[in-house]
Amino acid sequence: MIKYVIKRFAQMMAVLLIVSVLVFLMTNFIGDPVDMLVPEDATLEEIEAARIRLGLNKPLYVQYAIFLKSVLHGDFGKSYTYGLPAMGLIVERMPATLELVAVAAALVLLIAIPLGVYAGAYPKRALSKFIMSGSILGISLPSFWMGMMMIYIFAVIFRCLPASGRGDTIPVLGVQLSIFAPGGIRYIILPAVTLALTNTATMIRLTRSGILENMRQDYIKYARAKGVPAKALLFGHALKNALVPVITVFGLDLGNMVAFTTITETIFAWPGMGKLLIDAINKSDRPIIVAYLMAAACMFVVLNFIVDILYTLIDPRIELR
Amino acid sequence: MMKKKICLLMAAIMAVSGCLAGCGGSQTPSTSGESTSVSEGTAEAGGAEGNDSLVIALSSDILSMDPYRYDEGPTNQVMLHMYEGLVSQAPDMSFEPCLAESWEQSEDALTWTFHLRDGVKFHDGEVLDSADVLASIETASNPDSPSAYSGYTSTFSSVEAPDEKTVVIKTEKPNPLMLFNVAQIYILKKENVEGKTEEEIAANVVGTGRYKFVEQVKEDHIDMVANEDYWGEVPAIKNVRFRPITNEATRTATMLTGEVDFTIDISVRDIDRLESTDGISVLKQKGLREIYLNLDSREDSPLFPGQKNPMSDARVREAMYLAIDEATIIKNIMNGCAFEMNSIVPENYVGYQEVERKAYDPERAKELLAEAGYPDGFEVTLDAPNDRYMNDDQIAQAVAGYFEKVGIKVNLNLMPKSNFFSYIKPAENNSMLLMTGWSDASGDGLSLLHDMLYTFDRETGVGTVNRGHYSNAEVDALIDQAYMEPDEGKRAEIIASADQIARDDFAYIPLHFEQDTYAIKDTLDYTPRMNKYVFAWEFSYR
Repeated sequence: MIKYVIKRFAQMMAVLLIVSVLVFLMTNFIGDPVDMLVPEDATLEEIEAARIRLGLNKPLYVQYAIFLKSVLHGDFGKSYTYGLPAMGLIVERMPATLELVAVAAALVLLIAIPLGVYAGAYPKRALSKFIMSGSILGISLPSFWMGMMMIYIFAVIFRCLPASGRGDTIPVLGVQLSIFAPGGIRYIILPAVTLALTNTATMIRLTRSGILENMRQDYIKYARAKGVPAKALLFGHALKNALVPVITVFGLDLGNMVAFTTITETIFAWPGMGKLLIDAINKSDRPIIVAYLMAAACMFVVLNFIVDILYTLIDPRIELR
Repeated sequence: MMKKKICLLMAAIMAVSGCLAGCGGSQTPSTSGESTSVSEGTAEAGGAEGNDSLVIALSSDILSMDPYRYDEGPTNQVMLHMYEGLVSQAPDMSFEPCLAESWEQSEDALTWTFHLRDGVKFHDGEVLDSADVLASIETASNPDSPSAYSGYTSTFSSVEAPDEKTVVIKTEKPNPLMLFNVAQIYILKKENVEGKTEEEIAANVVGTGRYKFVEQVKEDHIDMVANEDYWGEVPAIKNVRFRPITNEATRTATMLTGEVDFTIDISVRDIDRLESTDGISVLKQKGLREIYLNLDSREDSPLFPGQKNPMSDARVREAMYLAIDEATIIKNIMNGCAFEMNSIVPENYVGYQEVERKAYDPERAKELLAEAGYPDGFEVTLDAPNDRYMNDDQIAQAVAGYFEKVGIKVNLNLMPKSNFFSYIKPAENNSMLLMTGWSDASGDGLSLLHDMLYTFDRETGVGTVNRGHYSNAEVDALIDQAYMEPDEGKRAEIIASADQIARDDFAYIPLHFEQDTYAIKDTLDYTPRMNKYVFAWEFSYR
């Protein structure tokens, strides 16, 4: 186990190194941050001064070396646009995104697993067919369109939910959360449902195919013959064995939702990290982009690690190596 | 078994209660429409009646709470609620007393004396004096700060305070834009700026303005309350919330639901929808942003190696001007949401004169091309951004089409703004023909001429946006002369004549001014400003 953790840690370091190099190179092509920063009628002197201030006058490999050195000291550099530490800006917006993703992820699990099990256990029933066609819709409809439609239906026509924003927040264990604030839950419903939609559809299909496959196995037939009740059969035996691919994909989805909720956040004016990334890309704000993507890479590695551990809990035959 | 059942039950209850909470607690704002939604938005600010609260939707969040950090429209308009300068800009772009009650200029126009208003208090109760002004100007001009504000103080040779209520600014050359410059510099408390970092300045919002800072949640809202101790008229709107909503469609939807009272930057395609909604009106105002073409007019341009630059001939430039059917562009591409542009100097600006736009005449354009020796036209590349201005890519395509009609072959080169503005810099010498925009809030045509028409010189920083390398010694001389002219009336004449020469030279091809479009609830009265700044104190409930 310890060996495994060390191995994973080494892998993570390698991934982070590669990500940082790639992002450093790529951001060089998306435009000159200095031109985005200085006024359009800036004189050459002003432009040069800004370049020197940001350290962009040095060759790229020197910039990278400086960056690497400060990262080892825990400093990801200051955002060109905001002049504040890049990591701080990301962390500051993190609670909003995590809150949204937590609700969306709960929705995914609560909806997708029961529906998937049902559709897998009784594939011929009309309701199963309805669930499956619904999931195709969920996969194929783009989330920005769904988001706009939901705003139109629930906020503009029925006026029962707010169209955008996060509402007021209250501190819960030192973190500002809106879901526990009075009326706060109303703000999170539309964005969370939008975010959950595509993932729910994929999860339904994954769960269903896993259940379908397992239901044909001999051990299920045996359990049935033994007289195990239908529910225990489905959830205790079949689902448990169908869960490994579901959890793998869910782990990745979770990472995707946290790191790249950009579209949902933009549509619902949700003050999370995704919008920060998009703005940073538009302004060629390299410190934010690098810090953001490194944090995202880190998170993916950690999530995968957790998923691996979950494997061993679900299926004791799997060993961590 | 039991456990699983309980889990499922809990989950079901949570899901159902979530939906109920969502739809249940919300009936109040939906039925009563206009005013209650405001109080719902600003919970801690109170204002249950709604007649003194206002929620304004912005198209982007402010970039920093440090007022000197970023000179950008949306940030400035929010800052001006809390901070003020020595003078302020009136809706018609002229300057009026603010923290300085009066000012005078010396005979030689090199010394400006500002007399501070008595009894101006900061939000924390302390009285403003000249030391605060000195410290603020000093901070704004700090070249180490990335702020754009050092540009406003670059002409100042010294700033002194002979007594507590007087500030004297000296310049080496006359500066006709002095009032505009000092209007941009927010006055903060000396102890809050001197030796402070940007973070510290941003964390301590204490100004003299009509509103006091309450809180900011980045990308979500900024709340302010009226400053009851304001030196002037205390605003009728007591609670203000600014909400940045970047997505155009969401902004419109949020306006439709009544969650906000006023929305900035309405997308052209949403105008009809909003106008047809009861209780909402759309305000349209000619903006300051002008869209125009720059064309390389140098005889031997590096962009036409080994041949004469066709566009160095004024007849060719005139032909290109006449070839564009701007009325159709405004009607079909801009959906009528633009105003014909004839000169770079906007209305009401010092040096503005009414001029007619030359009529669309492709036949005459062809004749002129033939006269200039290009009966079969020539080939150029048109550079344009595709994400910066209203429908910019479509306008560029239309312009290219019009040029093709008179025989000029156009290679269209569309770019995102993050690449475009580096590419078209005059010093780079990349672009022979380009479409771009400019907006200048100084209220003075001289500022536009200095940036756009003065012969580009990378050393002295003149003509920094003269992207066509237009150069006319006569125009340069007139601009220099206008800078030395303290009398506004005479200066206006000089500016007008310089612009006239440039227009006769076809130094640039004007297209249109963009329209600023706002949505407002019918319960409110408001008149938009030319410079697009939206100030809460200018609203009133009917």
